[in-house]
Amino acid sequence: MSKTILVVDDSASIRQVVSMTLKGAGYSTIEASDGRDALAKLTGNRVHLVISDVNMPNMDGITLLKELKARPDTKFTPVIMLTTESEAAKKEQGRAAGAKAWVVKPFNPQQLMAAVGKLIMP
Amino acid sequence: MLTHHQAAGIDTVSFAGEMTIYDIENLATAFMPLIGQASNLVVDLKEVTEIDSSGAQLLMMARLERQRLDKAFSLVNHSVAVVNLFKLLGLLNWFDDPVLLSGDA
Amino acid sequence: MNMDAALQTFFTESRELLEDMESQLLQLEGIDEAQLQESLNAVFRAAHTIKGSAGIFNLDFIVAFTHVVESVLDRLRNQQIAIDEALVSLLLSCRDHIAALVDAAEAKEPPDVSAGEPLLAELQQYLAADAQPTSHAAATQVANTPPPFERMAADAVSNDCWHISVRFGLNSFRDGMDPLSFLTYLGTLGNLVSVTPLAEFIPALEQYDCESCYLGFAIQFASQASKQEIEDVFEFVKEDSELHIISPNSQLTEYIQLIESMPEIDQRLGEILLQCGALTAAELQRALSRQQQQQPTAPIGEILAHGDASLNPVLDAALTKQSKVRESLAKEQKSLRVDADKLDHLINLVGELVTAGAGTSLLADSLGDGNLCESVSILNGLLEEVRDAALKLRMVPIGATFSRFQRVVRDIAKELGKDIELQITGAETELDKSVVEKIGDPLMHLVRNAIDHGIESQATRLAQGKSERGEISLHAYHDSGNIVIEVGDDGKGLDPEVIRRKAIEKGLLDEQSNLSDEELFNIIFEPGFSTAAQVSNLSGRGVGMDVVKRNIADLRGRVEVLSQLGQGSTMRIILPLTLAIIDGFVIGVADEQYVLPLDTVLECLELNSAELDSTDEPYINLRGQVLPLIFLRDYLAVRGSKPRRQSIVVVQSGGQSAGIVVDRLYGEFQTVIKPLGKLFSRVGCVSGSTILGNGTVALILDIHGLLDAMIAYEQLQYRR
Repeated sequence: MSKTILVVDDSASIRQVVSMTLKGAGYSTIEASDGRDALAKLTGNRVHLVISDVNMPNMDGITLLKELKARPDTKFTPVIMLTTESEAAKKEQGRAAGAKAWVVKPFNPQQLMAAVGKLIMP
Repeated sequence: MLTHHQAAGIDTVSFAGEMTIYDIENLATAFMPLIGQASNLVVDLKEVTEIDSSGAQLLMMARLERQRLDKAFSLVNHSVAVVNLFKLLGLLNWFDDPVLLSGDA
Repeated sequence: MNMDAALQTFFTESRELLEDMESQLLQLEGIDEAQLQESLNAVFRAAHTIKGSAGIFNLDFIVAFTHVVESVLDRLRNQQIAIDEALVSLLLSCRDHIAALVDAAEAKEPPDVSAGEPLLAELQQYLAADAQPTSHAAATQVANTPPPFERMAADAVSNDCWHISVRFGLNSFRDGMDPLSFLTYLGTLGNLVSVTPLAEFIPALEQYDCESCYLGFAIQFASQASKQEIEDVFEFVKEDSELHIISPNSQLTEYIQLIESMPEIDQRLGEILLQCGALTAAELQRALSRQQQQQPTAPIGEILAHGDASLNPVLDAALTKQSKVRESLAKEQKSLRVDADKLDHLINLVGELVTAGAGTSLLADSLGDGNLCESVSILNGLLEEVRDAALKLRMVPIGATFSRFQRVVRDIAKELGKDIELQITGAETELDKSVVEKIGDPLMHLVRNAIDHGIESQATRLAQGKSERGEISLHAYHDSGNIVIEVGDDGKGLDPEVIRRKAIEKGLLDEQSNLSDEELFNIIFEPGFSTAAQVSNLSGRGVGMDVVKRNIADLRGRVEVLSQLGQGSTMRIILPLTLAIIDGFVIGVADEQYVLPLDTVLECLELNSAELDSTDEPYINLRGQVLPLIFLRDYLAVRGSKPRRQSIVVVQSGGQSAGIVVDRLYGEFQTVIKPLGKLFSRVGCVSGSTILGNGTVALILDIHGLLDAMIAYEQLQYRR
């Protein structure tokens, strides 16, 4: 059974790149365009890892992280936050909310897979 | 899931299904009281389909506690998932229970 | 290690490699670039491994020949020369020669080295094609280069490891950070030589929080990775965790620092470092005493200044050994070679056990003690599992036997100027090893027959609108307790008329006789029958098909022929799954007991004498179907009077059903088959004997033989 990763980003192209990279490595993916969409798509799906952008419309990554920590089925699910160098303030907020794993954009597929590999087994 | 039965002075606790952080609280709540009470404690891992470090740590704690109490404790029927985890974390040696390494697992 | 045993392993291993080599070589033509490279690598590795192992056993004649083959293969895989059909043929011949050399070595006979000389001459042409150095020369060069660090070379094994100590943060689990995945990821950067858990931080039961992480690990890690790369593995947990990474050949002080960082367990940590092989006992002693000498406040630099710190290689030889044992445990082989004799002995014992178990079961039944019966039934259930597991040990896939035919088909087709493809399906089907060993020859005959007689010449095929390339198929599958192996071809098929004329000509058939097509097909198994108008040197000498039938009968199997004129033929071999133990159904006639194979038994009925008396014909109406009856009492000519009530056992074999009328039913019984002596080999309807639980001997009835006899008898009646 391949592990499922929820990919949350408002940029369709980033979602696609991330999804393709993960699928190429044998993971299944679910894509969501923002935090609210992500929470909706979680229902009924067991997710092993969440990769989320920070800056998103409707519900941003940090709120999503807090929501995930509050749900029994996702409170222990590892989360990778995608961020840019310029978002220092956001990063501080994220840290406070319990975000541990950060990947800085722009990233290449190897960097992404390395981050995923440290958190879940294939 | 955890089942407990007692026969001939031996308490057998069987873990089944997932022993991961998502279930650990329920498992620990049922399991921890037995660690102190049972005189002979056998933990059957045959039906464990998935286990993570939190599951392994619970078993480690049980073993340490039983050693402190100087009471018998053994793990039996390690499932493939358990053996794989134990191998990786160096726990096969740490728990020195006999483990059958199945040939075609 | 026992040299003879090792040598035996070498022979077995070499044969496997050679077989692999053959199948790889055969598929070289017409595969794509990537696969080609992979196959060439596999062939090269095979030759390389054989050469290497042969060297250990001083089998210099194998080394000498294989070395040249390996050199050519090396150039092939480095694309210095190209693969073509001539080279494939040459390499196949070389493979055969290596096999012959291995055989000679095993038989302890002088090898026929001269047979390899023409091959070597041909190989040299490929090597001489240009002036690049061969792999051998290259290898020598490498060997002559001095190792870069002499000191390392002296104790290199023990010295290569990083030491990583990590204590994960309390919230690791809650953050979704499982130490397990970090260690797994670390494993992708190198080799986890040893992982020692640090359980010292796990609190007592009362303080234990099951969602907190108290784990730590001491890891010996062999890797080319940089310190930064290793540190990055723990990037996501580094804020909350304590991480120490000590590079290979580090100063003792680094370890002292590590020990100091975990004061609550410093003593124990020292032991762990010793245990996981990072420090020797002497070094640990030095480190601990030095640590005690220092005031806690003393700067690290001071320790450094004192240093006789040129730290030796830190691994103790004994500890290296220990971690090696652990390493090999991790790489636990997935299969195990067991001497076939030992296995047979086990099967025999299991057989005896099964018999004894059945006896105990009978005894328990007669005593009528409920507890005893229950316990015996549990015991017998387990026995059955043990039996099945033991028999499974002997099961091997037929694939290896099948793939040998690739070569046969290729060679013979070439010789006959035909273009034939072999299709293999069901290669993973498992059957008893003893059957696999004995099925090779009959299969060979059938395949040769199919190539020789079955597939037409290319011209004929084209004229008939068939594809130029003929197809032969080998197909294996399981079918209700049997293994079925089919040898099919899309050739001309059997012509019943030709067979008929031939049979009459050979005096095997009466001119008046009126046989069905199937009966005519079966004549090809008669001794002295051959359909080939032209006798070739491959088959068609009239020996073969009768031998095939006999060989298969020896395995308690049978052969069927399916053929469609112009479309092709299929020879279907039906074999029992195993030879040793079957589930039997025990019946009784007069005072004797007989065993029917349980998988042939459909149901049991009571014989209604009234219904039977109304007619002379031995059959009954079973739910609208005619069921012919065999009165076993009459058939076996048992004297004495019939009991008042008799039973019918409905059996089925090869699509035929019949009712066997018996006196008594005893039920299921695990039956260990003992073969009958040669004297009884002509008795058609008995396939063996067994010893029942109470010690009496019972014959095992061959249902197929019984039904055949019944049909033959009926036809005889009919003709009259």
